[in-house]
Amino acid sequence: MLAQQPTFWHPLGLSFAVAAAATGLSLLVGVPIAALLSRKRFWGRDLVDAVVCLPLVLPPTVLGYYLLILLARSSPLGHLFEAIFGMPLTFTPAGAVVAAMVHALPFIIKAGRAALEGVDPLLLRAAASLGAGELRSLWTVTLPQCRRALLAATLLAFARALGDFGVTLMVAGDIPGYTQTAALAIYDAVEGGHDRVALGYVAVLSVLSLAVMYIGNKLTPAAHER
Amino acid sequence: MSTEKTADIALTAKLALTRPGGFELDVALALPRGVTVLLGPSGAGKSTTLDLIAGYIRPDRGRIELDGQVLLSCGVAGEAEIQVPVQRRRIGYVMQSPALFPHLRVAANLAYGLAGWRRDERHERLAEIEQALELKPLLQRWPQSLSGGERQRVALGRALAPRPRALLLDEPLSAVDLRRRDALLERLRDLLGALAIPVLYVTHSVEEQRFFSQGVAGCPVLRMQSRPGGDAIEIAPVAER
Repeated sequence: MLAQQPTFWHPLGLSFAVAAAATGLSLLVGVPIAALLSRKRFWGRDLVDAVVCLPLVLPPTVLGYYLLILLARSSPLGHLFEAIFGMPLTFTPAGAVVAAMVHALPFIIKAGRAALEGVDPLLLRAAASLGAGELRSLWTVTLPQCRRALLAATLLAFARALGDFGVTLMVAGDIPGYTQTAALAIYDAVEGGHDRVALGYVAVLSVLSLAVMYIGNKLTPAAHER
Repeated sequence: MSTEKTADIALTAKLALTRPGGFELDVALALPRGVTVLLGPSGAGKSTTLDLIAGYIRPDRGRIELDGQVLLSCGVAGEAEIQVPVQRRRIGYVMQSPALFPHLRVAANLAYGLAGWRRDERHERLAEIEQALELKPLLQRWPQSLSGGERQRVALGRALAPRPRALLLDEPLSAVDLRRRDALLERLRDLLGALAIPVLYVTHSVEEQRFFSQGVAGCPVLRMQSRPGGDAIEIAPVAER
């Protein structure tokens, strides 16, 4: 039985964990960036916005190439990461998380910015006249107001993170039992002629993604409801 | 205004603002404690005046002083530039649209401005507000379920709760249906008349203005007019009784 082989479940578990971590980190990084883009005017704001969207259009190999240079063990960032966590960033599961973030982050920032800008400015005025500074009004008015839209964006980002192939391959490699996510395992299975294994991964990923998209779409239209 | 009245002035504002398109606002206000009605047609710059005092807009030149504290000084010769941000001005603002927080129940809306308060003081203050505005039955309701008049009552209570040093009201009854307006106006008049802070009540309705003038002894009325033949708008501080 396919499902009883421990090697079958590892890539799926890894995919899930990587996508969850990437989505969580993207929220932590992306919501403040979205808030900054929506609230503040600063020099280069449109450039930041464009850079944020690049992963949506660039080939995964280009993104992977950039990340390899940026995060390699010899690079300052890679060095810093290794000094703190005791393992390199590239060709480890941490690298797979970064690769997945490349896809999740634009979703969070794009959708987050739209959601934040959709909040009724009168509510923010009211909060300010009641003594709330920017951070408090962001936390107590803006975010609660767009939590549905943010949740929908989070689910879409998760689905997108779950499906990465190219960037993961370049940054984290395809090491079975270590960095091989489900998307990579499908490729290997097809290459090796294990059609049933490939079909198993395809089925699980499809159902999971469908469920996430379905829930995400259901949440989207009612952004202004309580 | 007589000299003994000027000793009573709590809020002064001199503001000049030019907007692209030729809109010019030139305002000089001196508000005593108690209600002052600011009357003027729509588009005369009444809301802009309130936004300037509250601090949402920065004038080209101007000075605002409240209870001896300079809240704004810009372009005034011989004075350092000062701009106290909205959230530290402690000026209550009731807008045309009540703008209640839709994700908070009435009780939490009322308490929003009391975030830094001690628990017992907060409870005491909220009890006072609930009593004065008869809000007890509404506390557990969501803003969406309230009528227009109820919403404005909550908005007023929310603005008054943190003991503002001045209160601005921008056509607070415009979203209330006509049948309920009279009862609400009477209540508003009694409540605002009892406040010991400067209250600026903005309206385009001469009826509302008369109602205040008749009910509150010595309630000053300011008229906002378009300068004849020009786009410039200024407040003519005509004290009417």
